[in-house]
Amino acid sequence: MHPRPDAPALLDVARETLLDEETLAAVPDAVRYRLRMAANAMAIAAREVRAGDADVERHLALLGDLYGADVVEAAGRTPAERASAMQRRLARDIRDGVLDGACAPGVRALLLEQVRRRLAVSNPRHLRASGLDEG
Amino acid sequence: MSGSTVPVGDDEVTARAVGAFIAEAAGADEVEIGAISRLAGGAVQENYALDARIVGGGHHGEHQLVLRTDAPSAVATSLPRATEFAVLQAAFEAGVKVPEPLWSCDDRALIGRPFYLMRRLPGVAAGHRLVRDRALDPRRDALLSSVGAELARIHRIRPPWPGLEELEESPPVPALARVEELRAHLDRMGTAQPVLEWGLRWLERHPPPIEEIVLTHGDYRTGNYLVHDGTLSGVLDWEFARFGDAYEDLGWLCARCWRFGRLDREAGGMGDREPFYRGYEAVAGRPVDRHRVAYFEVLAAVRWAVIALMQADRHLRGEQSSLELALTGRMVPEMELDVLLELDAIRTGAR
Repeated sequence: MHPRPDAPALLDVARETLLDEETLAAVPDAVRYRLRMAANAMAIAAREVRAGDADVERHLALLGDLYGADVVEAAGRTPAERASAMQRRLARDIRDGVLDGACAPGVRALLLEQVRRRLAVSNPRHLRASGLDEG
Repeated sequence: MSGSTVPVGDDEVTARAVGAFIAEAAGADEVEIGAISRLAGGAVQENYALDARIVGGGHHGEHQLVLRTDAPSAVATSLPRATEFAVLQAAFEAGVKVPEPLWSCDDRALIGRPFYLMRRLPGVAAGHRLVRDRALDPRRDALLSSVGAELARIHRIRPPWPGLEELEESPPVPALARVEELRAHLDRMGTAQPVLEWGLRWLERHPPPIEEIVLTHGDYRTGNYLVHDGTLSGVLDWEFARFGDAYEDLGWLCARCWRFGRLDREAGGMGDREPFYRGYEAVAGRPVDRHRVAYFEVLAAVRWAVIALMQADRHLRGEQSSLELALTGRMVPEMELDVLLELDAIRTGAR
Protein backbone atom coordinates (compact mmCIF):
# COMPACT_ATOMS: atom_id res chain seq x y z
CA MET A 1 0.00 0.00 0.00
CA HIS A 2 2.69 2.51 0.98
CA PRO A 3 6.05 3.01 -0.71
CA ARG A 4 9.11 1.92 1.25
CA PRO A 5 10.78 2.60 3.65
CA ASP A 6 8.13 1.28 6.04
CA ALA A 7 7.10 2.92 9.33
CA PRO A 8 9.80 1.48 11.63
CA ALA A 9 12.52 2.09 9.04
CA LEU A 10 11.39 5.71 8.71
CA LEU A 11 11.49 6.10 12.48
CA ASP A 12 15.01 4.61 12.53
CA VAL A 13 16.38 7.05 10.00
CA ALA A 14 14.57 10.01 11.55
CA ARG A 15 16.12 9.04 14.87
CA GLU A 16 19.61 8.77 13.40
CA THR A 17 19.18 12.25 11.99
CA LEU A 18 18.18 13.67 15.38
CA LEU A 19 21.14 12.02 17.08
CA ASP A 20 23.59 13.04 14.37
CA GLU A 21 26.77 14.66 15.78
CA GLU A 22 26.12 17.71 13.66
CA THR A 23 22.54 18.12 14.90
CA LEU A 24 23.47 17.66 18.55
CA ALA A 25 26.47 20.00 18.33
CA ALA A 26 24.29 22.77 16.90
CA VAL A 27 21.87 22.96 19.84
CA PRO A 28 22.17 24.08 23.48
CA ASP A 29 22.24 21.50 26.31
CA ALA A 30 18.58 21.92 27.30
CA VAL A 31 17.45 21.34 23.72
CA ARG A 32 19.81 18.37 23.33
CA TYR A 33 17.98 16.71 26.23
CA ARG A 34 14.69 17.19 24.38
CA LEU A 35 16.14 15.77 21.17
CA ARG A 36 17.29 12.70 23.05
CA MET A 37 13.80 12.27 24.51
CA ALA A 38 12.29 12.55 21.03
CA ALA A 39 14.81 10.01 19.70
CA ASN A 40 13.93 7.66 22.55
CA ALA A 41 10.21 7.97 21.77
CA MET A 42 10.95 7.11 18.12
CA ALA A 43 12.98 4.04 19.13
CA ILE A 44 10.11 2.78 21.31
CA ALA A 45 7.57 3.39 18.53
CA ALA A 46 9.76 1.55 15.99
CA ARG A 47 10.16 -1.46 18.29
CA GLU A 48 6.41 -1.50 18.98
CA VAL A 49 5.57 -1.53 15.27
CA ARG A 50 8.13 -4.30 14.67
CA ALA A 51 6.70 -6.43 17.51
CA GLY A 52 3.34 -6.08 15.74
CA ASP A 53 0.54 -8.49 16.58
CA ALA A 54 2.88 -11.20 17.83
CA ASP A 55 2.85 -9.75 21.37
CA VAL A 56 -0.96 -9.67 21.51
CA GLU A 57 -1.26 -13.23 20.15
CA ARG A 58 1.27 -14.55 22.67
CA HIS A 59 -0.46 -12.76 25.52
CA LEU A 60 -3.84 -14.19 24.50
CA ALA A 61 -2.35 -17.69 24.34
CA LEU A 62 -1.04 -17.35 27.91
CA LEU A 63 -4.40 -16.05 29.11
CA GLY A 64 -5.95 -19.06 27.38
CA ASP A 65 -3.75 -21.35 29.47
CA LEU A 66 -5.02 -19.67 32.63
CA TYR A 67 -8.72 -19.14 31.84
CA GLY A 68 -9.37 -21.59 28.99
CA ALA A 69 -9.13 -20.79 25.28
CA ASP A 70 -12.94 -20.63 24.93
CA VAL A 71 -13.22 -17.97 27.63
CA VAL A 72 -10.59 -15.83 25.88
CA GLU A 73 -12.26 -16.39 22.49
CA ALA A 74 -15.62 -15.21 23.84
CA ALA A 75 -14.11 -12.05 25.41
CA GLY A 76 -14.25 -9.98 22.23
CA ARG A 77 -14.46 -9.93 18.45
CA THR A 78 -10.89 -8.88 17.59
CA PRO A 79 -7.60 -9.91 19.25
CA ALA A 80 -7.19 -6.34 20.54
CA GLU A 81 -10.68 -6.39 22.07
CA ARG A 82 -10.07 -9.79 23.63
CA ALA A 83 -6.72 -8.69 25.05
CA SER A 84 -8.23 -5.56 26.58
CA ALA A 85 -11.24 -7.38 28.07
CA MET A 86 -9.06 -10.17 29.48
CA GLN A 87 -6.58 -7.67 30.90
CA ARG A 88 -9.46 -6.10 32.86
CA ARG A 89 -10.66 -9.48 34.07
CA LEU A 90 -7.16 -10.49 35.14
CA ALA A 91 -6.65 -7.23 37.05
CA ARG A 92 -10.01 -7.61 38.80
CA ASP A 93 -9.48 -11.28 39.66
CA ILE A 94 -6.07 -10.55 41.13
CA ARG A 95 -7.49 -7.76 43.28
CA ASP A 96 -10.39 -9.91 44.46
CA GLY A 97 -8.06 -12.72 45.49
CA VAL A 98 -9.57 -15.17 42.98
CA LEU A 99 -6.06 -16.06 41.77
CA ASP A 100 -4.40 -16.49 45.17
CA GLY A 101 -3.12 -19.91 46.14
CA ALA A 102 -2.80 -22.71 43.61
CA CYS A 103 -3.09 -20.40 40.57
CA ALA A 104 -0.37 -18.07 41.80
CA PRO A 105 2.70 -19.63 40.11
CA GLY A 106 0.92 -19.65 36.74
CA VAL A 107 -0.21 -16.06 37.15
CA ARG A 108 3.27 -14.97 38.14
CA ALA A 109 4.75 -16.65 35.02
CA LEU A 110 2.15 -14.98 32.80
CA LEU A 111 2.80 -11.57 34.32
CA LEU A 112 6.57 -11.92 33.99
CA GLU A 113 6.20 -12.87 30.34
CA GLN A 114 3.96 -9.85 29.76
CA VAL A 115 6.40 -7.51 31.48
CA ARG A 116 9.30 -9.00 29.52
CA ARG A 117 7.51 -8.23 26.26
CA ARG A 118 6.54 -4.73 27.37
CA LEU A 119 10.13 -3.99 28.39
CA ALA A 120 11.55 -5.44 25.18
CA VAL A 121 9.69 -2.59 23.46
CA SER A 122 9.90 0.21 26.05
CA ASN A 123 13.37 -0.34 27.49
CA PRO A 124 15.34 -3.43 26.38
CA ARG A 125 18.43 -2.14 28.18
CA HIS A 126 16.63 -2.33 31.53
CA LEU A 127 15.63 -5.89 30.71
CA ARG A 128 19.24 -6.88 30.05
CA ALA A 129 20.48 -5.00 33.13
CA SER A 130 18.02 -7.06 35.17
CA GLY A 131 19.45 -10.31 33.82
CA LEU A 132 16.54 -11.17 31.51
CA ASP A 133 16.72 -11.65 27.74
CA GLU A 134 14.52 -10.11 25.08
CA GLY A 135 13.21 -13.50 23.92
CA MET B 1 22.02 23.99 40.80
CA SER B 2 21.94 25.69 37.45
CA GLY B 3 18.97 27.06 35.55
CA SER B 4 17.85 28.86 32.47
CA THR B 5 16.00 32.16 32.57
CA VAL B 6 12.32 31.34 32.38
CA PRO B 7 10.22 33.86 34.31
CA VAL B 8 7.20 32.89 36.43
CA GLY B 9 5.06 35.25 34.42
CA ASP B 10 6.28 38.63 33.35
CA ASP B 11 9.74 38.84 34.86
CA GLU B 12 9.62 42.45 35.97
CA VAL B 13 6.09 42.33 37.29
CA THR B 14 6.96 39.22 39.28
CA ALA B 15 10.17 40.74 40.62
CA ARG B 16 8.34 43.86 41.74
CA ALA B 17 5.53 41.88 43.41
CA VAL B 18 7.94 39.54 45.18
CA GLY B 19 10.14 42.47 46.23
CA ALA B 20 7.18 44.30 47.75
CA PHE B 21 6.07 41.12 49.53
CA ILE B 22 9.53 40.53 51.03
CA ALA B 23 9.78 44.18 52.11
CA GLU B 24 6.56 43.86 54.09
CA ALA B 25 7.30 40.37 55.48
CA ALA B 26 10.86 41.28 56.49
CA GLY B 27 10.02 44.77 57.72
CA ALA B 28 12.54 46.23 55.25
CA ASP B 29 12.72 49.74 53.80
CA GLU B 30 13.54 48.52 50.33
CA VAL B 31 14.07 45.24 48.48
CA GLU B 32 15.73 44.88 45.13
CA ILE B 33 15.28 41.62 43.20
CA GLY B 34 17.91 40.52 40.68
CA ALA B 35 17.41 38.14 37.74
CA ILE B 36 14.94 35.29 38.31
CA SER B 37 15.91 31.95 36.78
CA ARG B 38 14.03 28.67 36.79
CA LEU B 39 15.80 25.75 38.47
CA ALA B 40 15.85 22.30 36.89
CA GLY B 41 13.51 19.53 38.01
CA GLY B 42 9.99 19.47 39.38
CA ALA B 43 7.04 18.53 37.20
CA VAL B 44 4.69 19.45 40.01
CA GLN B 45 6.40 22.38 41.70
CA GLU B 46 8.44 25.12 40.10
CA ASN B 47 11.54 26.52 41.76
CA TYR B 48 13.15 29.82 40.85
CA ALA B 49 16.51 31.11 41.99
CA LEU B 50 16.56 34.81 42.80
CA ASP B 51 18.90 37.19 44.58
CA ALA B 52 17.49 39.86 46.87
CA ARG B 53 19.17 42.95 48.27
CA ILE B 54 17.31 43.87 51.42
CA VAL B 55 17.76 47.32 52.91
CA GLY B 56 16.75 47.81 56.57
CA GLY B 57 14.91 45.52 59.00
CA GLY B 58 16.11 42.28 60.52
CA HIS B 59 17.26 40.80 57.21
CA HIS B 60 19.38 43.70 55.98
CA GLY B 61 21.88 42.44 53.39
CA GLU B 62 22.30 40.28 50.27
CA HIS B 63 20.29 37.03 50.12
CA GLN B 64 20.37 34.10 47.74
CA LEU B 65 16.87 32.69 47.69
CA VAL B 66 14.62 30.13 46.07
CA LEU B 67 11.00 30.90 45.29
CA ARG B 68 8.86 27.76 45.21
CA THR B 69 5.41 27.70 43.67
CA ASP B 70 2.91 25.28 42.13
CA ALA B 71 3.37 24.35 38.49
CA PRO B 72 0.28 25.30 36.45
CA SER B 73 -0.83 21.64 36.58
CA ALA B 74 -0.38 20.64 40.22
CA VAL B 75 -1.05 17.07 41.30
CA ALA B 76 -3.88 16.66 43.78
CA THR B 77 -1.89 14.37 46.08
CA SER B 78 0.77 16.92 46.98
CA LEU B 79 0.59 19.39 49.87
CA PRO B 80 -0.56 22.99 49.43
CA ARG B 81 2.43 25.36 49.51
CA ALA B 82 1.52 26.87 52.88
CA THR B 83 1.39 23.41 54.50
CA GLU B 84 4.68 22.42 52.88
CA PHE B 85 6.15 25.63 54.32
CA ALA B 86 4.95 24.62 57.79
CA VAL B 87 6.59 21.18 57.37
CA LEU B 88 9.82 22.81 56.25
CA GLN B 89 9.71 25.09 59.30
CA ALA B 90 9.17 22.14 61.63
CA ALA B 91 12.06 20.24 60.01
CA PHE B 92 14.34 23.30 60.16
CA GLU B 93 13.56 23.88 63.83
CA ALA B 94 14.14 20.18 64.55
CA GLY B 95 17.67 20.53 63.19
CA VAL B 96 17.15 18.75 59.86
CA LYS B 97 19.37 20.05 57.06
CA VAL B 98 16.86 21.91 54.91
CA PRO B 99 16.83 25.26 53.15
CA GLU B 100 15.80 27.78 55.83
CA PRO B 101 12.15 28.68 55.15
CA LEU B 102 11.71 32.46 55.23
CA TRP B 103 8.32 33.78 54.12
CA SER B 104 5.16 32.18 52.77
CA CYS B 105 2.51 33.93 50.67
CA ASP B 106 -0.96 32.48 50.18
CA ASP B 107 -2.27 35.54 48.32
CA ARG B 108 -2.78 34.58 44.68
CA ALA B 109 -3.03 38.22 43.66
CA LEU B 110 0.75 38.67 43.78
CA ILE B 111 2.09 36.23 41.18
CA GLY B 112 -1.04 34.24 40.39
CA ARG B 113 -0.21 31.28 42.65
CA PRO B 114 0.75 30.73 46.28
CA PHE B 115 4.51 30.65 46.87
CA TYR B 116 7.14 30.75 49.56
CA LEU B 117 10.74 31.81 49.81
CA MET B 118 13.61 29.87 51.31
CA ARG B 119 17.35 30.23 51.48
CA ARG B 120 19.25 28.81 48.49
CA LEU B 121 21.71 26.07 49.46
CA PRO B 122 24.77 25.13 47.42
CA GLY B 123 25.04 21.69 45.85
CA VAL B 124 23.88 19.28 43.19
CA ALA B 125 20.66 17.27 43.45
CA ALA B 126 20.38 15.72 39.97
CA GLY B 127 20.36 11.95 40.49
CA HIS B 128 22.07 10.95 37.25
CA ARG B 129 24.95 13.33 38.02
CA LEU B 130 25.42 12.23 41.63
CA VAL B 131 25.37 8.58 40.65
CA ARG B 132 28.03 9.05 37.96
CA ASP B 133 30.29 11.53 39.74
CA ARG B 134 33.63 9.70 40.18
CA ALA B 135 34.85 12.37 42.57
CA LEU B 136 32.22 11.14 45.03
CA ASP B 137 33.43 7.53 44.96
CA PRO B 138 35.74 7.74 47.98
CA ARG B 139 32.99 9.53 49.97
CA ARG B 140 29.98 7.40 49.10
CA ASP B 141 29.81 5.47 52.39
CA ALA B 142 30.13 8.61 54.48
CA LEU B 143 27.61 10.44 52.32
CA LEU B 144 25.07 7.61 52.58
CA SER B 145 25.58 7.48 56.30
CA SER B 146 24.54 11.14 56.54
CA VAL B 147 21.62 10.51 54.16
CA GLY B 148 20.50 7.88 56.69
CA ALA B 149 21.19 10.08 59.70
CA GLU B 150 19.23 12.98 58.22
CA LEU B 151 16.24 10.72 57.57
CA ALA B 152 16.29 9.56 61.18
CA ARG B 153 16.29 13.21 62.25
CA ILE B 154 13.16 13.80 60.16
CA HIS B 155 11.54 10.76 61.77
CA ARG B 156 12.03 12.22 65.24
CA ILE B 157 9.17 14.55 64.40
CA ARG B 158 6.09 12.75 65.63
CA PRO B 159 2.43 13.71 65.93
CA PRO B 160 1.14 15.74 67.54
CA TRP B 161 3.79 18.34 66.67
CA PRO B 162 3.44 22.10 67.12
CA GLY B 163 2.98 23.77 63.75
CA LEU B 164 1.90 20.59 61.97
CA GLU B 165 -1.76 20.68 62.97
CA GLU B 166 -2.68 21.03 59.29
CA LEU B 167 -1.23 17.62 58.41
CA GLU B 168 -3.73 14.80 58.29
CA GLU B 169 -3.67 12.22 61.03
CA SER B 170 -2.04 8.95 59.99
CA PRO B 171 -4.22 5.91 59.43
CA PRO B 172 -3.48 3.10 61.97
CA VAL B 173 -1.75 0.93 59.33
CA PRO B 174 -0.26 3.40 56.83
CA ALA B 175 0.86 0.67 54.40
CA LEU B 176 -2.67 -0.70 54.00
CA ALA B 177 -4.04 2.81 53.59
CA ARG B 178 -1.51 3.29 50.78
CA VAL B 179 -2.75 0.13 49.08
CA GLU B 180 -6.31 1.49 49.12
CA GLU B 181 -5.15 4.90 47.95
CA LEU B 182 -3.21 3.43 45.00
CA ARG B 183 -6.15 1.24 43.99
CA ALA B 184 -8.40 4.29 44.05
CA HIS B 185 -5.99 6.12 41.71
CA LEU B 186 -6.02 3.17 39.28
CA ASP B 187 -9.82 3.06 39.39
CA ARG B 188 -10.10 6.79 38.80
CA MET B 189 -7.93 6.44 35.67
CA GLY B 190 -9.96 3.41 34.58
CA THR B 191 -6.81 1.51 33.74
CA ALA B 192 -6.36 -2.27 34.15
CA GLN B 193 -2.90 -3.05 35.54
CA PRO B 194 -2.56 -6.75 36.46
CA VAL B 195 1.08 -6.56 37.57
CA LEU B 196 0.46 -3.59 39.86
CA GLU B 197 -2.66 -5.34 41.19
CA TRP B 198 -0.47 -8.39 41.85
CA GLY B 199 1.88 -6.25 43.92
CA LEU B 200 -0.99 -4.54 45.74
CA ARG B 201 -2.65 -7.87 46.56
CA TRP B 202 0.60 -9.16 48.06
CA LEU B 203 1.03 -5.95 50.06
CA GLU B 204 -2.53 -6.28 51.33
CA ARG B 205 -1.98 -9.87 52.44
CA HIS B 206 1.36 -9.24 54.17
CA PRO B 207 0.95 -6.06 56.21
CA PRO B 208 4.03 -5.36 58.32
CA PRO B 209 3.78 -5.22 62.11
CA ILE B 210 2.67 -1.81 63.31
CA GLU B 211 5.43 0.73 64.01
CA GLU B 212 5.42 4.14 65.58
CA ILE B 213 3.93 6.91 63.42
CA VAL B 214 6.41 9.60 62.38
CA LEU B 215 6.69 12.47 59.93
CA THR B 216 7.66 10.89 56.62
CA HIS B 217 9.24 12.94 53.86
CA GLY B 218 7.31 11.01 51.22
CA ASP B 219 9.86 11.43 48.41
CA TYR B 220 13.18 10.75 50.15
CA ARG B 221 15.47 9.57 47.36
CA THR B 222 18.51 10.43 45.32
CA GLY B 223 17.54 13.51 43.34
CA ASN B 224 15.85 15.16 46.32
CA TYR B 225 18.89 15.87 48.49
CA LEU B 226 21.68 18.28 47.73
CA VAL B 227 25.33 17.23 47.78
CA HIS B 228 27.97 19.93 48.09
CA ASP B 229 31.71 19.17 48.27
CA GLY B 230 30.95 15.51 48.89
CA THR B 231 28.63 16.11 51.82
CA LEU B 232 24.88 16.35 52.26
CA SER B 233 23.87 20.01 52.29
CA GLY B 234 20.08 19.83 52.37
CA VAL B 235 16.89 17.81 51.94
CA LEU B 236 14.51 19.18 49.29
CA ASP B 237 11.01 18.65 47.90
CA TRP B 238 8.73 18.19 50.88
CA GLU B 239 5.47 18.26 48.95
CA PHE B 240 4.59 14.62 49.75
CA ALA B 241 5.35 14.80 53.50
CA ARG B 242 2.80 13.13 55.77
CA PHE B 243 2.49 11.29 59.04
CA GLY B 244 3.04 7.61 58.39
CA ASP B 245 5.36 4.63 58.58
CA ALA B 246 9.08 5.50 58.80
CA TYR B 247 9.95 2.47 56.67
CA GLU B 248 8.13 3.91 53.70
CA ASP B 249 10.96 6.46 53.39
CA LEU B 250 13.64 3.78 53.89
CA GLY B 251 12.10 1.60 51.18
CA TRP B 252 11.62 4.51 48.80
CA LEU B 253 15.31 5.47 48.96
CA CYS B 254 16.48 1.89 48.33
CA ALA B 255 13.90 0.92 45.70
CA ARG B 256 15.26 -0.31 42.36
CA CYS B 257 13.39 2.44 40.52
CA TRP B 258 15.46 5.20 42.15
CA ARG B 259 18.97 3.97 41.35
CA PHE B 260 19.49 6.00 38.17
CA GLY B 261 20.88 3.12 36.16
CA ARG B 262 23.15 1.77 38.93
CA LEU B 263 21.06 -1.23 39.98
CA ASP B 264 24.09 -2.70 41.75
CA ARG B 265 24.24 0.20 44.22
CA GLU B 266 21.19 -0.62 46.27
CA ALA B 267 21.01 2.57 48.31
CA GLY B 268 19.70 5.09 45.80
CA GLY B 269 22.28 4.23 43.13
CA MET B 270 24.85 5.85 45.41
CA GLY B 271 26.35 2.87 47.23
CA ASP B 272 25.66 0.01 49.62
CA ARG B 273 22.69 -0.23 51.94
CA GLU B 274 24.68 -0.85 55.10
CA PRO B 275 26.23 2.62 55.52
CA PHE B 276 22.79 4.13 54.89
CA TYR B 277 21.16 1.86 57.48
CA ARG B 278 23.95 2.43 60.00
CA GLY B 279 23.71 6.19 59.63
CA TYR B 280 19.99 5.92 60.29
CA GLU B 281 20.44 3.60 63.26
CA ALA B 282 23.03 5.85 64.90
CA VAL B 283 20.55 8.72 65.11
CA ALA B 284 17.34 6.71 65.55
CA GLY B 285 18.86 4.66 68.36
CA ARG B 286 17.16 1.47 67.15
CA PRO B 287 17.99 -1.15 64.52
CA VAL B 288 16.58 -1.09 61.00
CA ASP B 289 14.63 -4.28 60.26
CA ARG B 290 16.05 -5.22 56.83
CA HIS B 291 13.11 -7.49 55.94
CA ARG B 292 10.64 -4.79 56.76
CA VAL B 293 12.40 -2.48 54.29
CA ALA B 294 11.84 -5.07 51.51
CA TYR B 295 8.07 -4.85 51.95
CA PHE B 296 8.23 -1.10 51.42
CA GLU B 297 10.38 -1.50 48.31
CA VAL B 298 7.52 -3.45 46.75
CA LEU B 299 5.20 -0.64 47.80
CA ALA B 300 7.65 1.91 46.34
CA ALA B 301 7.67 0.19 42.94
CA VAL B 302 3.87 0.11 42.79
CA ARG B 303 3.55 3.67 44.03
CA TRP B 304 6.01 5.11 41.52
CA ALA B 305 4.28 3.14 38.74
CA VAL B 306 0.93 4.65 39.72
CA ILE B 307 2.42 8.16 39.82
CA ALA B 308 3.96 7.54 36.37
CA LEU B 309 0.56 6.43 35.07
CA MET B 310 -1.00 9.58 36.49
CA GLN B 311 1.61 11.74 34.79
CA ALA B 312 1.06 9.98 31.47
CA ASP B 313 -2.68 10.37 32.00
CA ARG B 314 -2.29 14.15 32.07
CA HIS B 315 -0.76 13.91 28.61
CA LEU B 316 -3.32 11.37 27.37
CA ARG B 317 -6.29 13.45 28.47
CA GLY B 318 -4.85 16.50 26.74
CA GLU B 319 -4.39 18.41 30.00
CA GLN B 320 -0.75 18.98 29.23
CA SER B 321 0.74 17.72 25.98
CA SER B 322 4.27 16.70 26.92
CA LEU B 323 6.82 14.24 25.57
CA GLU B 324 8.32 13.92 29.05
CA LEU B 325 4.96 12.91 30.57
CA ALA B 326 4.27 10.56 27.66
CA LEU B 327 7.63 8.81 28.12
CA THR B 328 7.04 8.57 31.87
CA GLY B 329 4.08 6.33 31.03
CA ARG B 330 6.43 4.10 29.08
CA MET B 331 8.58 3.63 32.21
CA VAL B 332 5.81 1.69 33.94
CA PRO B 333 7.05 -1.76 32.75
CA GLU B 334 10.36 -1.07 34.54
CA MET B 335 8.52 -0.73 37.84
CA GLU B 336 6.40 -3.78 37.00
CA LEU B 337 9.56 -5.83 36.64
CA ASP B 338 10.77 -4.40 39.96
CA VAL B 339 7.56 -5.60 41.64
CA LEU B 340 7.95 -9.15 40.30
CA LEU B 341 11.69 -9.41 41.01
CA GLU B 342 11.29 -8.00 44.50
CA LEU B 343 8.48 -10.44 45.31
CA ASP B 344 10.65 -13.32 43.98
CA ALA B 345 13.53 -12.20 46.20
CA ILE B 346 11.26 -12.06 49.25
CA ARG B 347 9.71 -15.47 48.46
CA THR B 348 13.06 -17.18 48.05
CA GLY B 349 14.38 -15.59 51.22
CA ALA B 350 17.00 -13.53 49.40
CA ARG B 351 15.61 -10.41 51.07
